[in-house]
Amino acid sequence: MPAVTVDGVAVEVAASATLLEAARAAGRWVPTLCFDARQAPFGACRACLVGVEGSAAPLPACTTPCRDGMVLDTEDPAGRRVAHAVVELVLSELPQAPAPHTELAQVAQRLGVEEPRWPGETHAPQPADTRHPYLAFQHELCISCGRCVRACDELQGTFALTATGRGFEANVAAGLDEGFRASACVACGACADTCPTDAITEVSLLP
Amino acid sequence: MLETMSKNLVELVRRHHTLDAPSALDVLKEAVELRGEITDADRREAAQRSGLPEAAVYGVSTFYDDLLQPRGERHVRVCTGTACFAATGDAHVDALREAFGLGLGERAADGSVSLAETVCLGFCHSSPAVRDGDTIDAGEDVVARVLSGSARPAAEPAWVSLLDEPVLTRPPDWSGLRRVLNERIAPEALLEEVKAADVRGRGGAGFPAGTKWQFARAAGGDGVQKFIVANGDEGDPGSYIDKYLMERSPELLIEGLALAGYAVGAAHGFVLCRSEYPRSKPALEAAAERAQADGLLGDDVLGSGFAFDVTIVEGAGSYVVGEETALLACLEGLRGTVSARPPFPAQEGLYGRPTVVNNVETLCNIPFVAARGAAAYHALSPASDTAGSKLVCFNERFARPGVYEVPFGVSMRWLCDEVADGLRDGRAIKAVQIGGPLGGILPASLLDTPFDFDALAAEGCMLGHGGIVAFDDATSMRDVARHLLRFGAHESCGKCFPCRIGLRRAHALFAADAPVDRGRLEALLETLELGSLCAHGGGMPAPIRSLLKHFPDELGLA
Amino acid sequence: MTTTCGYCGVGCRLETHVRDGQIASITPAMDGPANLGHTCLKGRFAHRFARHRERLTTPLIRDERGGPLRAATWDEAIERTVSALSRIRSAHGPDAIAGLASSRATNEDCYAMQRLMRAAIGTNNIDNCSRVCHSPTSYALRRSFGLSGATGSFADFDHADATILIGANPTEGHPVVGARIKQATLRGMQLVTIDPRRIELADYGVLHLAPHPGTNAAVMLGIAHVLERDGFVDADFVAARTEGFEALLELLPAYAPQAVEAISGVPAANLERAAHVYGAAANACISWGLGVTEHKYGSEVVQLICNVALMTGKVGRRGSALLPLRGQNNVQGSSDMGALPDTYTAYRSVTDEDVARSFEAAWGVPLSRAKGYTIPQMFDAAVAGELKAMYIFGEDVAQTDPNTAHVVHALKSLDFLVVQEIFENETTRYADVILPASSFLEKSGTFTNAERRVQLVAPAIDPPGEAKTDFEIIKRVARALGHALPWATPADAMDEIAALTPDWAGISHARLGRHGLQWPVAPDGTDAPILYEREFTRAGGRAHFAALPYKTPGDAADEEFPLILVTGRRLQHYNAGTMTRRTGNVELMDADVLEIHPDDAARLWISDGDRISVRSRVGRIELPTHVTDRIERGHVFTTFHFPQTRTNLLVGASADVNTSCPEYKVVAVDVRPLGEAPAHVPALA
Repeated sequence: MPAVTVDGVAVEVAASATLLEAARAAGRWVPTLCFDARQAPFGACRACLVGVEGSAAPLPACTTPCRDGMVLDTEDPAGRRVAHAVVELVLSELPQAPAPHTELAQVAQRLGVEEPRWPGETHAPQPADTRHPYLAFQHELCISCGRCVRACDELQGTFALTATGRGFEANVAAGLDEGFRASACVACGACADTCPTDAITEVSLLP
Repeated sequence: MLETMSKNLVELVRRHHTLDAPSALDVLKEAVELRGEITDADRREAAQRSGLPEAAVYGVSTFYDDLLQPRGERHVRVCTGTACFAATGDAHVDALREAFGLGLGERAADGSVSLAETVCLGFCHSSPAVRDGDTIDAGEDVVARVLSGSARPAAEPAWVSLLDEPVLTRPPDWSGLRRVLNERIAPEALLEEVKAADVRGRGGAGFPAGTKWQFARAAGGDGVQKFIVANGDEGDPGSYIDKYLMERSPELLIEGLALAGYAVGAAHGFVLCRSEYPRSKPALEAAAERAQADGLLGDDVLGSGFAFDVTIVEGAGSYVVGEETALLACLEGLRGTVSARPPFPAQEGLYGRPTVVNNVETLCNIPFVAARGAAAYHALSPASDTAGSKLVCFNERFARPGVYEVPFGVSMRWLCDEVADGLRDGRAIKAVQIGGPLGGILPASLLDTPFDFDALAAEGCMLGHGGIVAFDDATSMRDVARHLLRFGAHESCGKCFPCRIGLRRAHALFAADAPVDRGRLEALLETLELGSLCAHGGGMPAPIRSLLKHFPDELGLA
Repeated sequence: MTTTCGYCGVGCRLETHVRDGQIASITPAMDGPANLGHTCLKGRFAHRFARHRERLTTPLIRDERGGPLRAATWDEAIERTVSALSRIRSAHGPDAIAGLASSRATNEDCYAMQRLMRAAIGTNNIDNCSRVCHSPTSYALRRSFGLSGATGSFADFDHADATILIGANPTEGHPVVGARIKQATLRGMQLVTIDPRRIELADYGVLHLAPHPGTNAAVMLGIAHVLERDGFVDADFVAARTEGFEALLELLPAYAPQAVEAISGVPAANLERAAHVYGAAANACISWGLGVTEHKYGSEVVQLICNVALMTGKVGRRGSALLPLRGQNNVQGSSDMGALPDTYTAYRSVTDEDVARSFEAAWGVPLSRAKGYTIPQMFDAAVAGELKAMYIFGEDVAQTDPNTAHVVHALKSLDFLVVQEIFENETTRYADVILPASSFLEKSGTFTNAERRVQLVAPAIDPPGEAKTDFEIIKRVARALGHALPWATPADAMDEIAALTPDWAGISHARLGRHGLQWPVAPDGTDAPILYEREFTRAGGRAHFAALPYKTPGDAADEEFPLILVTGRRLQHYNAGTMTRRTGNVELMDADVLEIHPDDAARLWISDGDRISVRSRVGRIELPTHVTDRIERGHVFTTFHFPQTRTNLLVGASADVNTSCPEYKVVAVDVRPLGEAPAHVPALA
């Protein structure tokens, strides 16, 4: 059972624990956007970089395993600069500010992110896809965190969702981009539960 | 608990692989080749035959360039790589677009012709290059020939070794494998020799191959299936070294794979070669067939009881698939996105099994080590701590472009002025980019820097894969920045946020008509360097930083 | 509010989000022990039925048979009910009245109902819908091991190296458990599926067996044969903890793989491999559903399943459990509560003097020692004129029980029928009084899931209009009958249950918290995730091997009825569809459909989507088809979610020999395109 120190607090963690799990065990906040405790860590958002003594660069907390004796700084300045920048970049690709209740808005608020330094092209707004009685897609709000795809894969096991495109055009789709209704989706709602921006949400909760 | 992304999808693919099912990518490529585009019916068929869920197949079909570009009866692919850019400033691209009246990635309404961009065809010695159907033509007048329908296969210069005794350019003779098996050298002993030889990866990272092999050998329990994968996805524009190896010495690569398999305990090898190199797969397959017939591959290699076979797989148009975890995803027929590490492929790689991924050139170094030993390998580069020899290649701007085998430690100036004979037409080198689009840019004033891992790193450059691309005075460095960032943004796999969005923003900074705010640019570069998931986003800042340092006035900074 | 789902026996914990007195959304509880932050489309989204315009909001009275219903006050409705029941009791005795408790309702509701029937009316004629689904499981587990419940928890799937899944389709019927099993298979758990249909999980398992419907016993005996033959018997376990192995051994030679193949159609090599997968696993589970129980010999098959676990010692430890997938959200609980004609709480017999006396003392009235009617017996007695009245709450017998014609005849034969429901349905057509009741979103109490986990239910909204909670209604009726139930709240009722039931001694609402407790619960609150770690609860502490040979099912295909119909469930709807048909789920599935194999379809000139007729020995229906090769030749499958289909018209009287669970899974039928005249036309309902 490795023992690590997080912001000066000693914690003992399970053998396969990650730095993020250690930070949480110590009650310390590390910003995350692509992390969901029910899924294997993904390492996409890069907001969770923390300082580790002996490492020149901050390390991604969600995918780095703990080793006995590690000393973590969850507020490492370089790590926080990257987290801040990541949130700015994500806000800059959305056509409108995320709704206050969304995880993205809350992380942005907690990090004190305001105007993105690098404004530019955004996802083109489209009408919400509400062909399904319960689940709606608002594709322009997708930040490609992968949580919905992984929920459908690792939690439900229906594999109805996929990442699509490449680079800045990356997005998410159900089935052969045919909407939830026509795809293999069984409407368990796990994707809506995990989406941090309401790109997938309940039809009845659409604004 | 740490796992590779989509462990379930990988497991589904593995289960169908054992049933000899094709990968989804195989089926989709077939459809594009037969009908010029992909329909939902093709996707459903790919899902059904490969065992991959339909949604995942859809995702694959929207990732790879080869699947996204519609093909007319005549499919023309124009290279937009750095060497071709260095040659014409992309004038050849504009000329073709205008002449066909098509944008890049468009097909004529009557389906007769389509135009697409491709990066890179590996004819950097004769830029610009155009692939008309299956004919790859290159040279100053290539556009005219293509437009008049008379494209002809371009010639490739012979490769040259500058060592006293050629190693990599020598006709392969299987002496390494023969020695190891005939003298019954134990796998562990071969592994130790490779470690002692300090063979560093030739693909860019320079990671010691022996150490990687050691991890894979130790991984997994008894009887766990292991794999060796040759990374033949030489996507670096300006680099055609692996192309030469795969097409001229495929046996050498196969021998290297077999030796790696022997040392690690793997019975299967894969080569992922690029679809932009259409001759590589046929050359490798023919060599594998001959090797099989000669008892150098198969169930009982040279009667030793060692079994090894090789499968050649062609990619589908994605640069980032050169990153090892993305490469494995491509082999599995999935989207070529990068996975977080750990776990490393040596622990959990292809189909979740321990896998060694080595660059083609790295594996081609192994037969010499096996035949002649670690000491002889070290002796190949007497002026350097780095062992072995290196293939380098030069772009069309040089007077004598081509592939050359050189020792480590020689100066860049010697390479540029003596080996490649300086630039053509009396032009002067303004700067060189070494090792690929993620490599730093060395101004002419620093050409005395030795060609070696540490020395180049000290100048913010990298040895990388060994491609050397020269820019002359006609090239604006702001255009170079824009060109590189456009390439970087286009090839981003789209998974990690800094690269997915950051490269697009960085390109926009240089593509706009406005001055570039240096502070904002540097903050963006830091985000990319520290935050990116892989060396694509992580490495893209390097050439930009070189330009900021050495050519700030050309960049149009605010 | 955090509550427990009212759909299926998984028992997902849910968070209800209310705005302005309406449910805005329901999300899964991250710490739900059975669901771990997951749920399915029913629990997650299918809650709009609670405010559907068809909700019953006032008591209704039908003044004359066949006439219309009119709104009434509670006082009038209760008075009408009580006076009818009292009159019938005086004239014909208390056993002329029967009650039916809802397996959807809470433990406290069901406990109240059985106390009403026993103490206020004076009869043991009380049953619940486990009769038609897992009563064979209850019977068999008690006979083989001692307790009527799963021997472990869903978590055991995560620790199993192999699992046999027989007669269940959890990715549709218990989606969260189905997902959990699927993930386990992707991590390497070796799943063997046994079902006439190629269920979704068959694509993830290592082996699928498709026996002819009704031959499960032969398959289980065959597996036992191979386990014994090939050295997988755990002799130490058998010697120390079981009895009756010798009798089983005498039976096994007749079930060699070739013999089993001849009976069931399962290739001998596959049978052997299935046994080896199970036998060689360090830990293995067996899980089953109604495809095992809803058969003439369902209760025997469950005992044969127990045999297989006992002979290999794979019971009583983590990763080796027997997990029957209980269907309804509280079918486990309604039976635990003694809403059964032959037992009080915790399956203690009504004929047991000590137990009966403890209830007499608590309730202050003498109690009958005679076993009451099961549901099928109630219908027979009604038709025979011996049963005069029924009080049914929360079960639509006219849609879900077999042999609809007979059920309708029975209901029409009663002098008085009072139905306590949330919607009008097929059964309320025959009711004299309808009492508007509450859904799971509107009541407090507890449900017991398939892991024996008792979990709290908390109301998110109020019952609509004048509807009341079932608990309130039953209390009112009981008081009006002269036996007041002394509980202010359901928590009080649970305290009485705990006081009178040793296995529930440590259970109270206060203790259940967010994660519930798995019975038996000791007085100090220690619960039981794993049963039988040290001993079985049968007398003597040993488990029992049942030496039961294979016998043919109650129905068989013949020239006139050449196909075998299996009935079951799909993902989007729950059983009668009472709730799900009044939600967006109808957009996802809007009709019962008959699944038929392409070869059979071709032979019958049927194309995908055609409407066809299905005729059995007792009835005839019409519905559309779906041609699929996931079902075997010679079998057809459909659901019973839509009342207009009347699927259960087809199901006859064949039922489990020990528990009367109907044989829904083996019905010989004739299928033909509409418009084609059959050879014989039986009397229609």
